[in-house]
Amino acid sequence: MELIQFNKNGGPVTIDITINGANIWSYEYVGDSTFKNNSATSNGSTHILGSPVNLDNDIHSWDIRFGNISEDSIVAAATILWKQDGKVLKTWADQVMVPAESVASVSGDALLIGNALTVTI
Amino acid sequence: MKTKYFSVVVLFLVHWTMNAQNRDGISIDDYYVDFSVPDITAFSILDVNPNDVVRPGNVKEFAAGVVNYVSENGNLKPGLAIELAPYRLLARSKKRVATTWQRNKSLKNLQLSVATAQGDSTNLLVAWGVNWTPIDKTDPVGDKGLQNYFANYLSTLGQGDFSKSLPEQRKEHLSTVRDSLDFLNGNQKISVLELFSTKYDERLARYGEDSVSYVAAMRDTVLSRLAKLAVQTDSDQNETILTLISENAALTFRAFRAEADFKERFTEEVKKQKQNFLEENWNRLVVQFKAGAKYSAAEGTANDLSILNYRIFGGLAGRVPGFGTGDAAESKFAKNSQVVCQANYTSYRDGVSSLDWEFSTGGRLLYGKADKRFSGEFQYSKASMKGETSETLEYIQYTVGGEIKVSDGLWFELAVGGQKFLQGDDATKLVPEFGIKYAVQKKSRF
Repeated sequence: MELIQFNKNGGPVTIDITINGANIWSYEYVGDSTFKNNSATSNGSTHILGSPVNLDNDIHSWDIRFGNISEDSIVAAATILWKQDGKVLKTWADQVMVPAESVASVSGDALLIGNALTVTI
Repeated sequence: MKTKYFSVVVLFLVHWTMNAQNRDGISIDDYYVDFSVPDITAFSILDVNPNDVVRPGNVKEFAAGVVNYVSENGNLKPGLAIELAPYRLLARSKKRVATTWQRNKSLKNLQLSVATAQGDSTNLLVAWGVNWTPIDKTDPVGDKGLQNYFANYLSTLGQGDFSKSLPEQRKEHLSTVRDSLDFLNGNQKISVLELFSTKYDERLARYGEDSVSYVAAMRDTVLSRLAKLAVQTDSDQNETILTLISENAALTFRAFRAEADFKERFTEEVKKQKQNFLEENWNRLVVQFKAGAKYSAAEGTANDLSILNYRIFGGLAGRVPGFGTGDAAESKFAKNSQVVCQANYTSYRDGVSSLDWEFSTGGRLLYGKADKRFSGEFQYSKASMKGETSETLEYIQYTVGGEIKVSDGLWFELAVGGQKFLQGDDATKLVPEFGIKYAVQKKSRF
Protein backbone atom coordinates (compact mmCIF):
# COMPACT_ATOMS: atom_id res chain seq x y z
CA MET A 1 0.00 0.00 0.00
CA GLU A 2 1.51 3.27 -1.11
CA LEU A 3 0.97 6.65 0.47
CA ILE A 4 0.97 9.36 -2.19
CA GLN A 5 1.20 12.85 -0.78
CA PHE A 6 0.51 15.74 -3.11
CA ASN A 7 0.11 19.47 -2.91
CA LYS A 8 -3.55 20.39 -2.52
CA ASN A 9 -2.88 23.72 -4.20
CA GLY A 10 -0.77 22.34 -7.03
CA GLY A 11 -1.60 21.25 -10.55
CA PRO A 12 -3.18 17.99 -11.69
CA VAL A 13 -1.63 14.73 -10.53
CA THR A 14 -0.56 12.35 -13.29
CA ILE A 15 0.85 8.85 -13.55
CA ASP A 16 3.37 7.34 -15.97
CA ILE A 17 3.25 3.57 -16.32
CA THR A 18 6.29 1.80 -17.80
CA ILE A 19 6.51 -1.88 -18.69
CA ASN A 20 9.75 -3.76 -19.33
CA GLY A 21 10.65 -7.30 -20.27
CA ALA A 22 7.29 -8.37 -21.73
CA ASN A 23 5.85 -7.92 -25.22
CA ILE A 24 2.36 -8.78 -24.07
CA TRP A 25 0.84 -6.78 -21.26
CA SER A 26 -2.33 -5.19 -20.09
CA TYR A 27 -3.11 -2.89 -17.20
CA GLU A 28 -6.06 -1.37 -15.42
CA TYR A 29 -5.61 1.57 -13.06
CA VAL A 30 -8.72 2.47 -11.07
CA GLY A 31 -8.84 5.93 -9.58
CA ASP A 32 -11.69 8.42 -9.95
CA SER A 33 -11.53 7.32 -13.57
CA THR A 34 -10.41 3.95 -14.86
CA PHE A 35 -7.44 3.76 -17.25
CA LYS A 36 -7.02 0.65 -19.33
CA ASN A 37 -4.25 -0.04 -21.79
CA ASN A 38 -2.54 -3.00 -23.38
CA SER A 39 0.37 -3.74 -25.69
CA ALA A 40 -1.95 -4.13 -28.68
CA THR A 41 -3.43 -0.65 -28.43
CA SER A 42 -0.63 0.99 -26.39
CA ASN A 43 -2.39 4.33 -26.52
CA GLY A 44 -0.06 6.22 -24.22
CA SER A 45 0.96 5.40 -20.71
CA THR A 46 0.59 8.84 -19.13
CA HIS A 47 -2.76 9.43 -17.49
CA ILE A 48 -4.18 12.44 -15.67
CA LEU A 49 -5.66 11.31 -12.37
CA GLY A 50 -7.40 14.61 -11.76
CA SER A 51 -7.10 17.88 -9.92
CA PRO A 52 -5.94 17.77 -6.27
CA VAL A 53 -9.31 18.84 -4.89
CA ASN A 54 -10.87 15.59 -6.13
CA LEU A 55 -8.05 13.27 -5.12
CA ASP A 56 -7.69 13.86 -1.40
CA ASN A 57 -8.17 10.68 0.66
CA ASP A 58 -8.71 8.62 -2.51
CA ILE A 59 -7.94 4.94 -2.79
CA HIS A 60 -6.48 3.85 -6.13
CA SER A 61 -5.93 0.22 -7.21
CA TRP A 62 -4.19 -1.28 -10.21
CA ASP A 63 -3.50 -4.64 -11.79
CA ILE A 64 -0.77 -5.09 -14.41
CA ARG A 65 -0.81 -8.40 -16.22
CA PHE A 66 1.95 -9.92 -18.37
CA GLY A 67 1.56 -12.67 -20.93
CA ASN A 68 4.30 -14.94 -22.14
CA ILE A 69 3.67 -17.10 -25.20
CA SER A 70 7.25 -18.30 -25.54
CA GLU A 71 8.63 -21.57 -24.25
CA ASP A 72 11.08 -19.84 -21.89
CA SER A 73 10.20 -17.99 -18.74
CA ILE A 74 10.69 -14.22 -18.71
CA VAL A 75 11.03 -11.56 -16.04
CA ALA A 76 8.61 -8.67 -16.51
CA ALA A 77 8.65 -5.41 -14.61
CA ALA A 78 6.36 -2.44 -14.16
CA THR A 79 6.95 1.03 -12.76
CA ILE A 80 4.42 3.72 -11.89
CA LEU A 81 5.45 7.31 -11.29
CA TRP A 82 3.00 9.71 -9.67
CA LYS A 83 3.83 13.27 -10.68
CA GLN A 84 2.63 16.76 -9.95
CA ASP A 85 3.93 19.98 -11.49
CA GLY A 86 6.86 18.08 -13.06
CA LYS A 87 7.95 16.60 -9.72
CA VAL A 88 7.87 12.88 -8.97
CA LEU A 89 5.72 12.35 -5.88
CA LYS A 90 6.26 8.62 -5.59
CA THR A 91 7.67 5.65 -7.50
CA TRP A 92 6.22 2.17 -7.31
CA ALA A 93 8.04 -0.72 -8.99
CA ASP A 94 7.49 -4.45 -9.03
CA GLN A 95 8.62 -7.39 -11.10
CA VAL A 96 7.50 -10.95 -11.57
CA MET A 97 8.67 -14.12 -13.28
CA VAL A 98 6.26 -15.14 -16.01
CA PRO A 99 6.48 -18.89 -16.68
CA ALA A 100 6.53 -20.26 -20.23
CA GLU A 101 3.17 -20.01 -22.04
CA SER A 102 1.59 -18.48 -19.00
CA VAL A 103 0.50 -15.28 -17.38
CA ALA A 104 1.49 -13.41 -14.22
CA SER A 105 0.50 -10.15 -12.65
CA VAL A 106 1.60 -7.45 -10.25
CA SER A 107 -0.83 -5.22 -8.43
CA GLY A 108 -0.96 -2.52 -5.85
CA ASP A 109 -3.06 0.02 -4.03
CA ALA A 110 -2.44 3.57 -2.91
CA LEU A 111 -3.93 6.13 -0.56
CA LEU A 112 -3.66 9.68 -1.89
CA ILE A 113 -3.43 12.42 0.68
CA GLY A 114 -3.39 16.13 -0.10
CA ASN A 115 -1.18 18.46 1.97
CA ALA A 116 -1.52 22.22 2.05
CA LEU A 117 1.88 23.83 1.64
CA THR A 118 2.52 26.66 4.08
CA VAL A 119 4.82 29.52 3.28
CA THR A 120 6.70 31.23 6.12
CA ILE A 121 7.52 34.89 5.57
CA MET B 1 -12.67 -58.53 -46.82
CA LYS B 2 -11.46 -55.01 -47.54
CA THR B 3 -8.50 -55.53 -45.14
CA LYS B 4 -7.60 -58.78 -46.89
CA TYR B 5 -7.45 -57.11 -50.30
CA PHE B 6 -5.43 -54.28 -48.84
CA SER B 7 -2.91 -56.69 -47.29
CA VAL B 8 -2.45 -58.41 -50.65
CA VAL B 9 -1.84 -55.05 -52.32
CA VAL B 10 0.66 -54.09 -49.60
CA LEU B 11 2.56 -57.40 -49.96
CA PHE B 12 2.65 -56.95 -53.72
CA LEU B 13 3.95 -53.42 -53.40
CA VAL B 14 6.59 -54.41 -50.86
CA HIS B 15 7.78 -57.18 -53.23
CA TRP B 16 7.82 -54.78 -56.16
CA THR B 17 9.65 -52.19 -54.08
CA MET B 18 12.38 -54.65 -53.24
CA ASN B 19 12.80 -55.44 -56.91
CA ALA B 20 12.85 -51.77 -57.71
CA GLN B 21 15.90 -51.33 -55.48
CA ASN B 22 19.16 -51.25 -57.28
CA ARG B 23 21.21 -54.41 -57.68
CA ASP B 24 24.29 -52.79 -56.14
CA GLY B 25 22.51 -51.83 -52.95
CA ILE B 26 22.00 -48.26 -54.15
CA SER B 27 18.32 -47.41 -53.89
CA ILE B 28 16.38 -44.35 -54.84
CA ASP B 29 16.47 -43.43 -51.15
CA ASP B 30 20.09 -42.52 -51.76
CA TYR B 31 19.09 -39.94 -54.35
CA TYR B 32 16.90 -38.08 -51.88
CA VAL B 33 18.56 -35.04 -50.39
CA ASP B 34 18.36 -34.53 -46.64
CA PHE B 35 16.87 -31.07 -46.32
CA SER B 36 16.53 -31.18 -42.56
CA VAL B 37 18.46 -28.37 -40.89
CA PRO B 38 21.74 -29.77 -39.51
CA ASP B 39 22.58 -29.60 -35.84
CA ILE B 40 25.83 -27.63 -35.73
CA THR B 41 26.53 -26.91 -32.09
CA ALA B 42 29.70 -27.44 -30.11
CA PHE B 43 27.84 -30.25 -28.31
CA SER B 44 26.83 -32.15 -31.44
CA ILE B 45 30.39 -31.79 -32.78
CA LEU B 46 31.87 -33.31 -29.61
CA ASP B 47 28.94 -35.65 -28.80
CA VAL B 48 28.26 -33.96 -25.49
CA ASN B 49 25.16 -35.11 -23.59
CA PRO B 50 22.56 -32.29 -23.93
CA ASN B 51 21.76 -32.67 -20.21
CA ASP B 52 25.29 -31.50 -19.36
CA VAL B 53 24.89 -28.20 -21.23
CA VAL B 54 24.89 -25.02 -19.12
CA ARG B 55 22.71 -22.16 -20.39
CA PRO B 56 23.59 -19.06 -18.36
CA GLY B 57 20.85 -16.47 -17.88
CA ASN B 58 23.20 -13.60 -17.08
CA VAL B 59 26.84 -12.53 -17.38
CA LYS B 60 27.62 -13.65 -13.82
CA GLU B 61 26.36 -17.18 -14.49
CA PHE B 62 28.36 -17.25 -17.71
CA ALA B 63 31.56 -16.28 -15.91
CA ALA B 64 30.87 -18.89 -13.22
CA GLY B 65 30.27 -21.54 -15.90
CA VAL B 66 33.56 -20.82 -17.69
CA VAL B 67 35.90 -20.27 -14.74
CA ASN B 68 35.82 -23.93 -13.65
CA TYR B 69 37.22 -25.06 -17.00
CA VAL B 70 40.21 -22.79 -17.24
CA SER B 71 43.14 -23.54 -14.95
CA GLU B 72 45.25 -20.87 -13.27
CA ASN B 73 47.96 -21.14 -15.93
CA GLY B 74 45.42 -20.68 -18.74
CA ASN B 75 45.04 -24.34 -19.70
CA LEU B 76 41.64 -25.58 -20.80
CA LYS B 77 39.95 -28.51 -19.04
CA PRO B 78 37.50 -31.04 -20.52
CA GLY B 79 33.82 -30.92 -19.56
CA LEU B 80 32.92 -27.37 -20.57
CA ALA B 81 29.55 -27.24 -22.34
CA ILE B 82 28.01 -23.82 -22.47
CA GLU B 83 25.35 -22.31 -24.71
CA LEU B 84 24.82 -18.58 -24.84
CA ALA B 85 22.00 -16.50 -26.21
CA PRO B 86 23.63 -13.02 -26.16
CA TYR B 87 20.30 -11.26 -26.76
CA ARG B 88 18.78 -12.69 -23.62
CA LEU B 89 21.99 -12.24 -21.68
CA LEU B 90 22.34 -8.57 -22.59
CA ALA B 91 18.67 -7.68 -22.87
CA ARG B 92 18.49 -8.08 -19.10
CA SER B 93 21.40 -5.74 -18.62
CA LYS B 94 20.58 -2.14 -17.82
CA LYS B 95 23.64 -0.89 -19.66
CA ARG B 96 23.49 0.88 -23.03
CA VAL B 97 24.53 -2.18 -24.97
CA ALA B 98 21.16 -3.76 -24.11
CA THR B 99 19.30 -1.12 -26.11
CA THR B 100 21.35 -1.89 -29.21
CA TRP B 101 20.56 -5.57 -28.90
CA GLN B 102 16.90 -5.00 -28.15
CA ARG B 103 16.57 -2.74 -31.18
CA ASN B 104 17.92 -5.40 -33.48
CA LYS B 105 15.38 -8.19 -33.09
CA SER B 106 17.14 -10.39 -35.64
CA LEU B 107 19.85 -10.98 -33.03
CA LYS B 108 17.26 -12.56 -30.77
CA ASN B 109 17.79 -15.93 -32.39
CA LEU B 110 21.57 -15.97 -32.18
CA GLN B 111 23.10 -18.78 -30.16
CA LEU B 112 26.74 -19.47 -29.47
CA SER B 113 28.07 -22.71 -28.04
CA VAL B 114 31.46 -23.82 -26.77
CA ALA B 115 32.50 -27.23 -25.48
CA THR B 116 35.63 -29.10 -24.46
CA ALA B 117 36.15 -32.86 -24.17
CA GLN B 118 38.96 -35.29 -23.56
CA GLY B 119 40.47 -36.59 -26.80
CA ASP B 120 41.65 -40.15 -27.51
CA SER B 121 44.98 -39.62 -25.79
CA THR B 122 46.16 -36.69 -23.68
CA ASN B 123 44.90 -34.17 -26.18
CA LEU B 124 41.92 -31.94 -25.52
CA LEU B 125 39.12 -31.44 -28.04
CA VAL B 126 37.51 -28.01 -28.35
CA ALA B 127 34.52 -27.01 -30.47
CA TRP B 128 32.38 -23.96 -31.06
CA GLY B 129 29.13 -23.43 -32.90
CA VAL B 130 27.12 -20.43 -34.06
CA ASN B 131 23.42 -20.72 -34.89
CA TRP B 132 21.64 -17.66 -36.22
CA THR B 133 18.10 -17.43 -37.49
CA PRO B 134 17.73 -13.77 -38.51
CA ILE B 135 14.26 -14.32 -39.98
CA ASP B 136 11.69 -16.81 -38.79
CA LYS B 137 8.14 -16.01 -39.80
CA THR B 138 6.97 -19.43 -38.69
CA ASP B 139 7.72 -18.46 -35.10
CA PRO B 140 4.44 -17.62 -33.38
CA VAL B 141 6.22 -15.92 -30.48
CA GLY B 142 7.48 -13.09 -32.69
CA ASP B 143 4.21 -12.62 -34.57
CA LYS B 144 2.71 -9.20 -33.87
CA GLY B 145 -0.83 -10.36 -34.65
CA LEU B 146 -0.62 -13.15 -32.10
CA GLN B 147 0.96 -10.84 -29.53
CA ASN B 148 -1.89 -8.38 -29.99
CA TYR B 149 -4.45 -11.17 -29.71
CA PHE B 150 -3.04 -12.16 -26.32
CA ALA B 151 -2.69 -8.55 -25.17
CA ASN B 152 -6.45 -8.21 -25.67
CA TYR B 153 -6.99 -11.65 -24.15
CA LEU B 154 -5.33 -10.48 -20.91
CA SER B 155 -8.15 -7.99 -20.42
CA THR B 156 -10.76 -10.76 -20.38
CA LEU B 157 -9.96 -11.95 -16.85
CA GLY B 158 -13.17 -11.98 -14.87
CA GLN B 159 -15.31 -10.96 -17.83
CA GLY B 160 -18.65 -12.70 -17.46
CA ASP B 161 -17.79 -13.68 -13.88
CA PHE B 162 -17.78 -10.29 -12.17
CA SER B 163 -19.71 -7.11 -12.83
CA LYS B 164 -16.64 -5.21 -11.58
CA SER B 165 -13.02 -5.93 -12.35
CA LEU B 166 -10.66 -7.12 -9.58
CA PRO B 167 -8.96 -3.72 -9.08
CA GLU B 168 -12.40 -2.06 -8.99
CA GLN B 169 -13.49 -4.52 -6.30
CA ARG B 170 -10.28 -3.90 -4.37
CA LYS B 171 -10.65 -0.13 -4.58
CA GLU B 172 -14.23 -0.39 -3.33
CA HIS B 173 -13.25 -2.68 -0.46
CA LEU B 174 -10.26 -0.57 0.60
CA SER B 175 -12.36 2.60 0.41
CA THR B 176 -14.78 1.02 2.90
CA VAL B 177 -11.86 0.06 5.15
CA ARG B 178 -10.47 3.62 4.89
CA ASP B 179 -13.85 5.09 5.88
CA SER B 180 -13.94 2.87 8.96
CA LEU B 181 -10.49 4.16 9.95
CA ASP B 182 -11.37 7.85 9.92
CA PHE B 183 -10.22 8.15 13.52
CA LEU B 184 -6.61 7.52 12.39
CA ASN B 185 -4.14 9.91 10.75
CA GLY B 186 -2.60 9.29 7.28
CA ASN B 187 0.37 7.16 8.34
CA GLN B 188 -1.69 5.17 10.84
CA LYS B 189 -4.31 4.56 8.13
CA ILE B 190 -1.66 3.27 5.76
CA SER B 191 -0.27 1.04 8.48
CA VAL B 192 -3.67 -0.68 8.89
CA LEU B 193 -4.77 -0.46 5.24
CA GLU B 194 -1.66 -2.34 4.10
CA LEU B 195 -2.91 -5.36 6.05
CA PHE B 196 -5.97 -5.39 3.76
CA SER B 197 -4.00 -4.58 0.65
CA THR B 198 -0.97 -6.38 -0.95
CA LYS B 199 -1.39 -9.01 -3.62
CA TYR B 200 -3.91 -11.81 -3.10
CA ASP B 201 -1.21 -14.51 -3.04
CA GLU B 202 0.80 -12.59 -0.45
CA ARG B 203 -2.34 -12.25 1.69
CA LEU B 204 -2.97 -15.98 1.37
CA ALA B 205 0.60 -16.70 2.44
CA ARG B 206 0.30 -14.27 5.34
CA TYR B 207 -3.12 -15.25 6.72
CA GLY B 208 -3.74 -18.83 5.57
CA GLU B 209 -5.19 -20.75 2.67
CA ASP B 210 -8.60 -21.59 4.12
CA SER B 211 -11.14 -18.93 4.97
CA VAL B 212 -11.48 -19.79 8.69
CA SER B 213 -7.77 -19.56 9.49
CA TYR B 214 -7.48 -16.54 7.16
CA VAL B 215 -10.11 -14.58 9.10
CA ALA B 216 -8.66 -15.60 12.49
CA ALA B 217 -5.06 -14.76 11.55
CA MET B 218 -6.00 -11.47 9.92
CA ARG B 219 -8.14 -10.41 12.91
CA ASP B 220 -5.19 -11.07 15.27
CA THR B 221 -2.84 -9.15 12.97
CA VAL B 222 -5.16 -6.15 12.64
CA LEU B 223 -5.92 -5.94 16.37
CA SER B 224 -2.24 -6.26 17.20
CA ARG B 225 -1.42 -3.49 14.71
CA LEU B 226 -4.07 -1.20 16.27
CA ALA B 227 -2.67 -1.98 19.72
CA LYS B 228 0.81 -1.12 18.50
CA LEU B 229 -0.54 2.23 17.32
CA ALA B 230 -2.01 2.66 20.82
CA VAL B 231 -5.51 2.87 19.35
CA GLN B 232 -8.43 1.74 21.51
CA THR B 233 -11.41 0.38 19.60
CA ASP B 234 -14.92 -0.10 20.96
CA SER B 235 -17.12 -3.13 20.31
CA ASP B 236 -18.87 -1.47 17.33
CA GLN B 237 -15.53 -0.73 15.72
CA ASN B 238 -14.37 -4.29 16.42
CA GLU B 239 -17.56 -5.59 14.83
CA THR B 240 -16.97 -3.44 11.73
CA ILE B 241 -13.36 -4.59 11.49
CA LEU B 242 -14.43 -8.23 11.67
CA THR B 243 -16.97 -7.67 8.86
CA LEU B 244 -14.30 -6.01 6.74
CA ILE B 245 -11.90 -8.89 7.38
CA SER B 246 -14.56 -11.36 6.20
CA GLU B 247 -15.06 -9.24 3.06
CA ASN B 248 -11.31 -9.19 2.55
CA ALA B 249 -11.15 -12.99 2.81
CA ALA B 250 -13.99 -13.33 0.26
CA LEU B 251 -12.21 -10.93 -2.12
CA THR B 252 -8.88 -12.72 -1.71
CA PHE B 253 -10.30 -16.17 -2.43
CA ARG B 254 -12.32 -14.78 -5.35
CA ALA B 255 -9.15 -13.26 -6.85
CA PHE B 256 -7.21 -16.46 -6.22
CA ARG B 257 -9.81 -18.61 -8.06
CA ALA B 258 -10.16 -16.11 -10.91
CA GLU B 259 -6.38 -15.84 -11.41
CA ALA B 260 -5.85 -19.62 -11.26
CA ASP B 261 -8.69 -20.23 -13.70
CA PHE B 262 -7.42 -17.51 -16.02
CA LYS B 263 -3.87 -18.86 -15.95
CA GLU B 264 -5.16 -22.27 -17.03
CA ARG B 265 -7.31 -20.78 -19.81
CA PHE B 266 -4.44 -18.60 -21.01
CA THR B 267 -2.07 -21.56 -21.32
CA GLU B 268 -4.70 -23.59 -23.21
CA GLU B 269 -5.38 -20.63 -25.50
CA VAL B 270 -1.65 -20.15 -26.18
CA LYS B 271 -1.31 -23.78 -27.24
CA LYS B 272 -4.43 -23.59 -29.41
CA GLN B 273 -3.48 -20.32 -31.11
CA LYS B 274 0.10 -21.47 -31.67
CA GLN B 275 -1.17 -24.63 -33.31
CA ASN B 276 -3.49 -22.59 -35.56
CA PHE B 277 -0.64 -20.22 -36.36
CA LEU B 278 1.70 -23.03 -37.33
CA GLU B 279 -0.95 -24.62 -39.55
CA GLU B 280 -1.46 -21.29 -41.33
CA ASN B 281 2.19 -20.26 -41.48
CA TRP B 282 4.18 -23.51 -41.68
CA ASN B 283 5.66 -22.45 -45.02
CA ARG B 284 6.52 -18.81 -44.19
CA LEU B 285 10.03 -17.46 -44.61
CA VAL B 286 12.83 -18.84 -42.44
CA VAL B 287 16.50 -17.89 -42.97
CA GLN B 288 19.20 -19.73 -41.05
CA PHE B 289 22.98 -19.67 -40.85
CA LYS B 290 25.11 -22.10 -38.93
CA ALA B 291 28.81 -22.68 -38.50
CA GLY B 292 30.97 -24.81 -36.30
CA ALA B 293 34.53 -26.01 -35.92
CA LYS B 294 36.44 -28.68 -34.06
CA TYR B 295 40.01 -28.32 -32.75
CA SER B 296 42.54 -30.43 -30.95
CA ALA B 297 45.02 -29.14 -28.39
CA ALA B 298 47.88 -31.55 -27.66
CA GLU B 299 48.96 -29.59 -24.58
CA GLY B 300 45.51 -28.36 -23.62
CA THR B 301 46.34 -24.69 -24.01
CA ALA B 302 44.61 -22.10 -26.14
CA ASN B 303 47.89 -21.40 -28.01
CA ASP B 304 48.16 -25.03 -28.96
CA LEU B 305 44.82 -25.37 -30.82
CA SER B 306 44.92 -26.88 -34.29
CA ILE B 307 41.79 -27.10 -36.41
CA LEU B 308 40.39 -30.54 -37.33
CA ASN B 309 37.43 -29.51 -39.42
CA TYR B 310 34.80 -26.83 -39.87
CA ARG B 311 31.38 -26.58 -41.45
CA ILE B 312 29.25 -23.71 -42.73
CA PHE B 313 25.54 -24.01 -43.51
CA GLY B 314 23.05 -21.55 -44.96
CA GLY B 315 19.43 -22.25 -45.67
CA LEU B 316 16.14 -20.62 -46.39
CA ALA B 317 12.64 -21.99 -46.61
CA GLY B 318 9.44 -20.24 -47.48
CA ARG B 319 6.64 -19.83 -49.94
CA VAL B 320 7.27 -19.87 -53.67
CA PRO B 321 8.47 -16.36 -54.65
CA GLY B 322 5.49 -14.20 -55.62
CA PHE B 323 3.11 -16.11 -53.33
CA GLY B 324 4.10 -14.49 -50.04
CA THR B 325 1.95 -11.36 -50.09
CA GLY B 326 -1.23 -9.90 -51.57
CA ASP B 327 -3.99 -11.95 -53.18
CA ALA B 328 -1.52 -14.60 -54.30
CA ALA B 329 -0.75 -15.35 -50.64
CA GLU B 330 -4.37 -16.46 -50.16
CA SER B 331 -4.29 -18.97 -53.01
CA LYS B 332 -4.36 -22.72 -52.40
CA PHE B 333 -0.93 -23.08 -54.00
CA ALA B 334 0.60 -20.47 -51.68
CA LYS B 335 -0.78 -22.15 -48.57
CA ASN B 336 0.18 -25.66 -49.60
CA SER B 337 3.64 -25.23 -51.08
CA GLN B 338 7.13 -24.62 -49.79
CA VAL B 339 10.51 -23.96 -51.35
CA VAL B 340 13.68 -24.95 -49.52
CA CYS B 341 17.19 -23.88 -50.61
CA GLN B 342 20.35 -24.87 -48.78
CA ALA B 343 24.12 -24.70 -49.13
CA ASN B 344 26.74 -26.60 -47.14
CA TYR B 345 30.51 -26.41 -47.03
CA THR B 346 32.73 -28.68 -44.94
CA SER B 347 36.49 -28.61 -44.73
CA TYR B 348 38.32 -31.66 -43.34
CA ARG B 349 41.71 -30.81 -41.92
CA ASP B 350 42.15 -34.00 -39.87
CA GLY B 351 43.84 -37.14 -41.17
CA VAL B 352 40.72 -39.29 -40.85
CA SER B 353 38.54 -38.22 -43.78
CA SER B 354 39.51 -39.07 -47.36
CA LEU B 355 37.91 -35.79 -48.45
CA ASP B 356 39.67 -32.46 -48.37
CA TRP B 357 36.47 -30.49 -48.61
CA GLU B 358 32.93 -30.85 -49.92
CA PHE B 359 30.33 -28.39 -51.07
CA SER B 360 26.69 -28.93 -51.92
CA THR B 361 23.75 -26.74 -52.77
CA GLY B 362 20.23 -27.60 -53.75
CA GLY B 363 16.55 -27.06 -53.33
CA ARG B 364 13.20 -28.68 -52.97
CA LEU B 365 9.70 -27.70 -54.02
CA LEU B 366 7.05 -29.28 -51.85
CA TYR B 367 3.34 -29.15 -52.62
CA GLY B 368 0.42 -30.70 -50.84
CA LYS B 369 -1.22 -31.13 -47.49
CA ALA B 370 -0.20 -33.02 -44.39
CA ASP B 371 -1.63 -36.28 -45.75
CA LYS B 372 -0.75 -35.94 -49.43
CA ARG B 373 2.43 -34.33 -50.78
CA PHE B 374 4.53 -34.09 -53.88
CA SER B 375 8.17 -33.12 -53.97
CA GLY B 376 10.77 -32.19 -56.54
CA GLU B 377 14.38 -32.06 -55.36
CA PHE B 378 17.69 -31.16 -56.90
CA GLN B 379 21.22 -30.98 -55.50
CA TYR B 380 24.62 -30.13 -56.94
CA SER B 381 27.66 -31.45 -55.05
CA LYS B 382 31.37 -31.08 -55.44
CA ALA B 383 34.11 -32.64 -53.32
CA SER B 384 37.88 -32.70 -53.41
CA MET B 385 39.78 -35.83 -52.41
CA LYS B 386 42.98 -35.75 -50.39
CA GLY B 387 46.12 -37.01 -52.00
CA GLU B 388 48.67 -36.06 -54.56
CA THR B 389 46.18 -35.73 -57.43
CA SER B 390 43.56 -33.80 -55.45
CA GLU B 391 40.89 -35.38 -57.62
CA THR B 392 37.53 -33.66 -57.69
CA LEU B 393 34.12 -35.34 -57.69
CA GLU B 394 31.22 -33.38 -59.11
CA TYR B 395 27.69 -34.66 -59.46
CA ILE B 396 24.02 -33.79 -59.43
CA GLN B 397 21.16 -35.77 -57.97
CA TYR B 398 17.41 -35.31 -58.34
CA THR B 399 14.18 -36.89 -57.23
CA VAL B 400 10.53 -36.33 -58.07
CA GLY B 401 8.12 -38.12 -55.83
CA GLY B 402 4.91 -38.14 -53.92
CA GLU B 403 3.41 -39.75 -50.87
CA ILE B 404 -0.09 -40.34 -49.62
CA LYS B 405 -1.24 -41.31 -46.18
CA VAL B 406 -3.11 -44.62 -46.33
CA SER B 407 -3.94 -44.75 -42.64
CA ASP B 408 -2.30 -43.85 -39.34
CA GLY B 409 1.30 -45.06 -39.50
CA LEU B 410 1.03 -46.20 -43.13
CA TRP B 411 2.24 -44.16 -46.10
CA PHE B 412 2.46 -45.03 -49.76
CA GLU B 413 5.37 -43.45 -51.63
CA LEU B 414 6.10 -43.28 -55.34
CA ALA B 415 9.24 -41.63 -56.67
CA VAL B 416 11.68 -41.48 -59.54
CA GLY B 417 15.18 -40.11 -59.21
CA GLY B 418 18.76 -40.36 -60.27
CA GLN B 419 22.19 -38.90 -60.24
CA LYS B 420 24.74 -37.89 -62.82
CA PHE B 421 28.46 -37.55 -62.29
CA LEU B 422 29.89 -34.55 -64.01
CA GLN B 423 33.46 -35.32 -62.95
CA GLY B 424 35.12 -38.26 -61.23
CA ASP B 425 36.68 -41.63 -61.92
CA ASP B 426 35.01 -44.36 -63.96
CA ALA B 427 34.23 -46.51 -60.94
CA THR B 428 31.96 -43.89 -59.49
CA LYS B 429 30.25 -43.42 -62.84
CA LEU B 430 29.21 -47.09 -62.70
CA VAL B 431 26.60 -46.24 -60.05
CA PRO B 432 23.18 -46.58 -61.68
CA GLU B 433 21.86 -43.20 -62.59
CA PHE B 434 18.14 -43.69 -62.47
CA GLY B 435 15.65 -45.51 -60.29
CA ILE B 436 11.97 -45.87 -59.57
CA LYS B 437 10.49 -46.67 -56.24
CA TYR B 438 7.15 -47.84 -54.85
CA ALA B 439 7.07 -48.25 -51.11
CA VAL B 440 4.74 -48.60 -48.21
CA GLN B 441 6.31 -47.24 -45.09
CA LYS B 442 5.47 -46.39 -41.54
CA LYS B 443 6.26 -42.71 -41.61
CA SER B 444 6.01 -39.70 -43.84
CA ARG B 445 9.08 -38.90 -45.91
CA PHE B 446 8.61 -35.14 -46.33
